[in-house]
Amino acid sequence: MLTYWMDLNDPFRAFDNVRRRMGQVLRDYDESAGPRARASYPHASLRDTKEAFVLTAEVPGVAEADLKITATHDSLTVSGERKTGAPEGYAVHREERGALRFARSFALPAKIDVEKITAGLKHGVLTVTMPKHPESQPKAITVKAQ
Amino acid sequence: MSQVNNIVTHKPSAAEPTTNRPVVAPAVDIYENAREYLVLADLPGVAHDGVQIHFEGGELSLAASRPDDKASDYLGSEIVDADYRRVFRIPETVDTDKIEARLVDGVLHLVLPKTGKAGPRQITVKMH
Repeated sequence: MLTYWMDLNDPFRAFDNVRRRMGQVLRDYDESAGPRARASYPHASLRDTKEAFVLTAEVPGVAEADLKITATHDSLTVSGERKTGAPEGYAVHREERGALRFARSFALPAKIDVEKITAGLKHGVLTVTMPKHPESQPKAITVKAQ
Repeated sequence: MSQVNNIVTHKPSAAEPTTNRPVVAPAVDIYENAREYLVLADLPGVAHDGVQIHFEGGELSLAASRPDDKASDYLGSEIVDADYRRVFRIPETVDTDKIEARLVDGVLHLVLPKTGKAGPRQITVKMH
């Protein structure tokens, strides 16, 4: 690095270099926080019980009426709106819970029975149960000796 | 580069973990009006009996945990079984006997009423 100080044509090159290195360190730190840090809202999990796919999503502060779920035979979309903000007559000290409008789609690995989807909301966690279509249910096949 | 960054990969948290569950600080909103302070905290997945609110020595500590998830058939998960913990320093004007908490849609509402005696007052300067 010292050699850059001697470069009379561009005396600020060392600063430039430091700034670039710092930028790289910060970018790496960002990525080191893992996939969860970059996951979109809401955080969700998908389970595969044999009969159905079960999606759980954390949606604290979202009322039942503000959630909308749509499905096709191989995807599910959860959208909604969270209304936060100071209640009438209150002053704000700190606001970390943002108001937001979200939509997130999930591609499912097998065909589901759209008519039989059920959804529930408990303690700010949305659970959507999507029974698999008969076509994608596993079938036992007996082996016959010949 | 990964070696260099090992030292900073731990996530900041409100308390040192004593179990292998991660401890996270929930996001909060703090509001105030003439009568009370209002604290809202996001605690998704926490049931009423999973919240402990403790007041001691001018500090209000909020701890919450959600039940262990025993399912193992996950295709993918972004949800961590975490414990929530956060500590607030409470001004002396709060009437600690009347603190109330309620859990609605995974959001904790904490109401901290103010005592009357600490209201605004005028202090006159005496002459000798």
